[in-house]
Amino acid sequence: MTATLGQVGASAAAIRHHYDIGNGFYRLWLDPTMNYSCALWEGSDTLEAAQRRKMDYHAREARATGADSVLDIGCGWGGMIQHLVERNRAKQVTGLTLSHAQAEFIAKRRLDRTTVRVEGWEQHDPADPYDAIISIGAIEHFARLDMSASERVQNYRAFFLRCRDLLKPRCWMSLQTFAYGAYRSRDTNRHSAATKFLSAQIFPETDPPCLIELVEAWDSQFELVRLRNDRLHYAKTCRVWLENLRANRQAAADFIGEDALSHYERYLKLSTIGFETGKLDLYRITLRKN
Amino acid sequence: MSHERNSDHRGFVSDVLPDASRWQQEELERWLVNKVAAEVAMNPEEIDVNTPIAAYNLDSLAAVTLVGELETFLECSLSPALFYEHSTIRALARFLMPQLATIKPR
Repeated sequence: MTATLGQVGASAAAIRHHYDIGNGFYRLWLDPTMNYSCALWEGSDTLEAAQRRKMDYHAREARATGADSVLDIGCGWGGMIQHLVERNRAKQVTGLTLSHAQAEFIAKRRLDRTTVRVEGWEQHDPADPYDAIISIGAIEHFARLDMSASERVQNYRAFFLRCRDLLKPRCWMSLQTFAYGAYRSRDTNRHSAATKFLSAQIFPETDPPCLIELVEAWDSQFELVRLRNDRLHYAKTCRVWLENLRANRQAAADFIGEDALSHYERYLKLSTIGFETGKLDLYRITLRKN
Repeated sequence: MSHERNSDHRGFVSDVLPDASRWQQEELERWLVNKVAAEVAMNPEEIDVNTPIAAYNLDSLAAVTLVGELETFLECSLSPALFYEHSTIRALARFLMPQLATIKPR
């Protein structure tokens, strides 16, 4: 059954604004797997090792290892998809993205047993449900700053309902999202100067969730199996990205210009502070279909 | 070499890059006090170097801006979360003094 919701959350144009700026630019400061989300650090991990550790974590939590079919909602540049087929022995992986540039980038990798579709979860209508769903760094885009609190929860609920339909019975979903921290009010968070800068310059039409909204949205659809707040992992990830960007500053400026570059540097610095201080959280959430 | 800063909504006047190579800790503290005061719209006299910086509610955008300024005149990279990693202005100044010692006179 296809949900008839129209546009939910950030428009495709807004997604492209951030992610289509040029794969070459992102390649300068992300790790080789092109994971643009929080890593999972242990010991003296390099960024790449920590990103692989994160991907293994989600594969385990979603029970995607060796699974017949896995759905990656918001598949980015395909790092998780590639990891699933090459390292986690998934038999078939489907990835969804709203970015044509990302889809083309993945197509060039010529991965076996994978399909990438340029469509949203609202439109995705497979012949059969999946054994596992993974969604990393996508749900942050499912609501906009101009939405009311109840509209936000409605959106997230629609997402979880759809995920429920897309999953076989008693199967698992592993989700990763950053969110506003709970130690100060949502309104304070949403109206800070930092939020205004980020939504104007970096992530238009995007407003991250609060935990309480997600819990209300998945209520009675999914069992909460595990929840981790790994915000310090994201502070460290942002610091390493900033170091990488600075180390390749000239090449970065050649790609996107000085003004845009200084916005990116500022955004990485603000993010570092946000995760260090708890203004922002990073959740890794394991859910099981009821 | 002077770094002009356009006046922004906080009404800063353009300022020249200080020659901090000979500063004592007190002078660095005074610079920090003045900058923090401007960002949080208080008088410098109201800012105490031994009070937790957190008490002044420096927002993260202002903190990032100030770290950027420090990086420019101290000629080094600093942690973006610097103002959250040192409890007081005095502690921060003490932390930065060794870097001050390495910059050349202007």
